[in-house]
Amino acid sequence: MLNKRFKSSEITSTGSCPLDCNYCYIPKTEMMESMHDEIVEYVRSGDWVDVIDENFQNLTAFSLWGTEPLLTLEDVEPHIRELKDRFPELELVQFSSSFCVDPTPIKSFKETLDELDIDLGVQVSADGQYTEVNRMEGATKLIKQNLHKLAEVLDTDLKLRWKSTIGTDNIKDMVENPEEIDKFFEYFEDIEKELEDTHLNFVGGSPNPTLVVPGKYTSENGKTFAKYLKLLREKGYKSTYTSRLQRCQKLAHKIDRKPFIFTCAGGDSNLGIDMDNIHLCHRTYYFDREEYRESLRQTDDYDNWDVSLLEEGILDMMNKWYIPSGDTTRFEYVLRNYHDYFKMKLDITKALLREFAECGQAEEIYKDDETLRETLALFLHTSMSCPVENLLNTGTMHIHPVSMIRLWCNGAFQELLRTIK
Amino acid sequence: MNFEEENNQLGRNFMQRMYFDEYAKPYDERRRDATRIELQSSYKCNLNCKYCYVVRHGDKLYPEVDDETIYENAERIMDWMIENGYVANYEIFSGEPLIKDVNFRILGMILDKYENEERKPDCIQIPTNMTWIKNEDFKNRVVDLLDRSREENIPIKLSMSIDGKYCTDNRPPITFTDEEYDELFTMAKKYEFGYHPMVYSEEIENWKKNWNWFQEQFRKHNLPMNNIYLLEVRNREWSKEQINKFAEFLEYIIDWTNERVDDFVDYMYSDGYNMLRSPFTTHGRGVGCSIQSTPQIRLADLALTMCHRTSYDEFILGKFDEDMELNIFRPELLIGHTIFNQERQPMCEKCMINKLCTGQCMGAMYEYTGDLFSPIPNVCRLEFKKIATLINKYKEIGVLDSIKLRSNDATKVQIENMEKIL
Repeated sequence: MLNKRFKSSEITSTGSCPLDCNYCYIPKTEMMESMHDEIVEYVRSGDWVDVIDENFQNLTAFSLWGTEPLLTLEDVEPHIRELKDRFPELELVQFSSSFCVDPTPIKSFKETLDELDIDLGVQVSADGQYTEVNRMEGATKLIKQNLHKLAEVLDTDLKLRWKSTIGTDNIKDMVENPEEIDKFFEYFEDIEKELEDTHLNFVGGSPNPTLVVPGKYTSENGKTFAKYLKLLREKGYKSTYTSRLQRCQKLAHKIDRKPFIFTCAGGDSNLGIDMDNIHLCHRTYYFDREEYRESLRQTDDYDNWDVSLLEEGILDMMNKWYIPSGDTTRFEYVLRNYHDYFKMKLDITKALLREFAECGQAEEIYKDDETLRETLALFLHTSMSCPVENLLNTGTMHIHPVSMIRLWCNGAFQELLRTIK
Repeated sequence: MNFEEENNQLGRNFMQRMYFDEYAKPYDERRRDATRIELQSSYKCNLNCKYCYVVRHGDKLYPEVDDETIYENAERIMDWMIENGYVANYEIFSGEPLIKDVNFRILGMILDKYENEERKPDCIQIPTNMTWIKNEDFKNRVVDLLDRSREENIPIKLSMSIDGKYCTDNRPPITFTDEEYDELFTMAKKYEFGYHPMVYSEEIENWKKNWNWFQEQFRKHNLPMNNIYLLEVRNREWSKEQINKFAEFLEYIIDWTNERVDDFVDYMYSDGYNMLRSPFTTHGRGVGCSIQSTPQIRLADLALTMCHRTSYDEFILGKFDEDMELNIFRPELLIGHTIFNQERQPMCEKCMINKLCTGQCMGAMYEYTGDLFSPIPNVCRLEFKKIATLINKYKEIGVLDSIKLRSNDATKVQIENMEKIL
C-alpha cells in the first residue's frame, strides 16, 4: 500500500491516437496498435479499479492518460461507479483530448459523474493556427466541428480548459511575423465566442502556450524565445511563465520547509497505474513493455520525440527502478528525495549556468551574477519541475536537462523578470 | 551549432578547463586535484569478494571486448596525451590488473612512450589483490616492471588490496600462506606499497585481531604503523549488530593508537589513520572519493565515465571518436557529478552530521536505490554510529576539545550538537 499522501491516480486508457504530433512525448511505433487492443481489454475488464484499491489508501482525483482517452471513454464509464464506491472522497475526473475524434461519449460519461457527484475536467489540446502543422492537417477545422458536435448533445454545463503547446518553429514564426501572435489568441477567442451560448464553458482564460519540453533547444532558440516573450509583453499578453514566476516569487520563502509544493505532482501526490505496475506519472507509460522498448530501439527516426538517448540504457533503467511492481518502499523513498529537498538541484543548475556562460551559450552576465544564477535556478526547479524528463535526459531526477536551461539563459529569463517588475 | 553540438561544446569546454589545461601545466602549478586519469582496463578478476561491485554488477559496467582493442585504445590515449602536451598520473583499474597479459603490455607501452619525453607522469598507480605472487611468471613480470618504472622515474605504485589474515573469508577463493604474507610485506617495504583493506560487515568481529596482525607485520618488516588506509564498505548489508562491532573496532584502534603516540591529536592530523581523522578535516571537493577529480576512461570503448562503479550505459558521459575527438553527450551529469557537494545531497542537506559524514558512494547508492544521489539508510546508520563513536571516544580520552579547536566553525557546531544528544 502506498503512502497516504498519494491521493490522485491516473491510468493508461489507450494506446492509439489519430494524430502524430511533432512534439508528442509518446513515440508512436507499430507496436502501439496491438498494445491498444490489450489496453482496451484491460480497461473494459475494470481490473484497474482493483489495482488502485490495492495500492491507494485514498483517492480524490482520477485521470485518464495514454494517447487519446476519448477512444475508450465508454469503456471506462461502467467502472467509475465502482471506483467511487471504493473511494467515496473521489471528487474529480480529468482527461485531455485532441478533439479530433468523436467527442459525444463525453455526454454519457458526464451524466454518470454528475450522478456520483464527481466533477469532470476536460482539456482541449489545440495550438491555434499552428494546430495544422503541429498536429494534423485539417485538425483546426475538425476541433471546431467536434466542439460544436459536443455542444449540441450536452444537456448540462461542461468546463473546458485550453491546452496549447508551441515549438521552436512556431516561436520563430511569431517573432518574424508578430501579427501571428494576435492570430494565435484570436483563434481561441473566436471559438469561445461561437460557443458562448452553449453548455461548453471555457475556464482559465486564453491559453498561454507552454513550450515543448524538454526539447532540444540551442542558444539561438533561447534568443528567439527571449524576443517572443518581449513581443508578448509589448502586446499586453501574459505568458504562462509570468504566472509561474509570480508564484515562485510569492512562495519562495517556503522552499526550505515545503519544497514539494513547487515540484510536479507526479510522484508526490499522484501516481499512474498501467496493468499491475505503478508509474511515476503518465510520462513512463508503455516503457514497462519490453516489446514497446524493443520497437523503440529499432526505430531510428526520433523526429517526433525529444529524447534520443534510448539506446544507452535509459529506458531499461526507468523500467528497472522507476516502474515498480509489488513493494514500493524504495521507490517512494527515492521520490521523497526528489520532492522534499532542493539544495543540490539548485547548486548543479547554478554551476551549469556558469558553464554555459563560460562557453558563450548563455549571456555573459551569468558568469558573475550569482543572484541571477540563483534566481533562474530557483525558477526552473520550482516552475518547470519534471522528474521523469530529468531522468530521461540526465539519468537522474535531480538534474535539469541543459535544453531548458539554455532556453532561458539567453535573454528570456531577464525578459520574464521585466514582466513582474 | 545544433543541440548536440552545443552540448558537446559545453562538456568539452568544462573538461578542458577542469582537467586538460591543468595537465599541460607543471605539477606544482596545477590545481591540487588535477593530477590523475584512471584507465579502466578490464573488470575480470580471480577473486570473488563478497562486497565487490564487480562481482555483482561487472557485466553491466564493462563491455565485452578483446584484449587487443583494450591495448590499442590505451595506446591511443597515450598518444593523445603526449601529442597535446598533457601529463597526468595514470591509474590502471579494476578487476585484478596484474594477472592479465594486456595490462603488462599497456604498462610497458606507457613506459616506452614516456622514455624519451621530457615531462613524465609522477607515477602509475595500480590497486591489486597481490594474488600474482603465487605465480612465478607473473611475479617476475611485476618485479621487472616495478624495477624498470623506477629506473624510468615513473614509479609504479601498488595499493595492496588485502583484507588481512583474519578476514580472508570475505575474499574467496584464494588465500595466502604465512610465507606468502611475509613475501608481500617484504615487497611492500622494498617498493613502498600501501595497504587498503576493506572493512566489511562480514568478519567485522575479527577486525581487532586483524588489526593486531597488520601491526605485527608492520613491526616485523619495519613498516610504519600507519601504512594502512582503512575504508568501511558502504554497502547496505550492515546489520545493527555489525554496526556495533564496527564501533567497538573504532574504539579499539583509538585506544591502541593513543597508547603508542605522544600526542594523539598531532599524530591523527599529521600521520594518523584516515578513518579516525577524515570526519574532522575538510577536503577541497564536494565528496571524499576521486570521482570529482579524476577523469575515468573505459578502455574497451574509450567512453568517459563518472567512475568505475557507475559506468553503466545510462551514465556514460561521452566518448572519444576515431580521431580522438572527445564527444560529450551528457554534459548535465558530467558537470553535475563533478561539482555537487554531499552536504547538500537529498536527505543529507538536513542531516545533523552532514559536515562530519564520510558520505556515500554514488555507485552503491545507485545499485541499491536506483538513484545516484539517494543515500542508503543503512549506511547512514553506519556513518552516524561512526561519528557518534569517534566523538564519545575522543571525549573520553580527553582530546575532543583539541579537535574542536582544529575544526572549522560549522564542523565544531555539529560536534557540539552531537555531544548534546549523545
